[in-house]
Amino acid sequence: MDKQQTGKTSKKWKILLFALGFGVVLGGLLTAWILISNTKTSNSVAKVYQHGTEIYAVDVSKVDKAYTYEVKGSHGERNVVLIEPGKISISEASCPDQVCVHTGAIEAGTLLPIVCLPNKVEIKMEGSLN
Amino acid sequence: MRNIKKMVLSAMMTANALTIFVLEAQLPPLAPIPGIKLGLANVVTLATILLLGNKAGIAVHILRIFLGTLFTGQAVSFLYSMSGGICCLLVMLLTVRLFGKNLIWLVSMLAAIAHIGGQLVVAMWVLETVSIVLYLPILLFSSILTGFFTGMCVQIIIKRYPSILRMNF
Repeated sequence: MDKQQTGKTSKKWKILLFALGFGVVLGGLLTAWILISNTKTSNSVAKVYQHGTEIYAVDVSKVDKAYTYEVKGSHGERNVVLIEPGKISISEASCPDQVCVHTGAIEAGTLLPIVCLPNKVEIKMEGSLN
Repeated sequence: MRNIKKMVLSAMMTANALTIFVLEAQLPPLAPIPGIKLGLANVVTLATILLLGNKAGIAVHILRIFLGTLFTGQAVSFLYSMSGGICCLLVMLLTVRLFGKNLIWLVSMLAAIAHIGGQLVVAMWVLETVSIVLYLPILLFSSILTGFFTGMCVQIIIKRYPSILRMNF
C-alpha cells in the first residue's frame, strides 16, 4: 500500500522534472533566438545571392532613395528586392509560401538573412563590397 | 508485401496522410521562418510503423511526401521535403523499438528535430551558405513542440487501445 502511494508521487515528480528540463531547453532556445535576432554588427553592405552566387551588392547606409531590383530565375522564379535607406527586403516573390516576403526588412547590422528557399535566393548583410 | 490486407491498410494510411498533409498545406504559414510546420501527417507515419511494421511505414511515408509534393507545391520543395522526411523516418525507425510505448512522444520529438536538421543541411548545401543556421534555435524550439504534440497524438491512441499493438494486421 505504501509503496504504491510512493510510486504515484514519484511519477508526478518525474513528469515535473521532465517538464522543467524541457522548459529550460525551450527557454534557452528562445533566448538564443532573441539574442540572434537583436545582435547588431557593423555590416551595412547587403548582398543578394542566387544559387549561392553573389549577384548584387549595395551599401544600404548610402542609399537615399528607395528602388527595386528584380531577381529572375531560369524556371520563372521571381523575387523583387526593395532597397530603401538603411534596409532591404523582398517585396514580391513567385514562391508558394511567401516566407521571404513575410520576413520583412533587414537593416544594416542584422545577423539573420532573408531566404527564399524555393527560389534559392538569399540576402544578407556583410562587411564590405568585396 | 505478401499480405493483401496489409497492402490495403497501407494504402488507406497513405490516403489518410495525404489528406492531412494537403489540408495542413492550405493553412497560412505559422511564422515568417523557413521550415516551420505542424507536421501533422507524421502522426500517420508513426502510427503505421507501430501498427503495420517498418516496411509499411517506409512506403506510406515516402509515398506521402512524393504524392503530397505533386498535389501541393512546386518541384522545388520536393528536395527539401524528401531530405527532411528521410531523416525523420530514419530516426523514427531507429528509436521506436528502443523506447517503450510510454516514450512515443520522445520518438516523435527526436524525429521532428531530425526533420528540420535534415532540411537545414540541404538548404545550406543548395544555397551554399552557412548563415541560415542562425535560424536553428527557433526551428528547434518549434520542432520540439510540434514533435511532442504529434507524438502524444499517437501515444494517447495506443494508450487508449493497447490491444491494437497486438493485432496482427
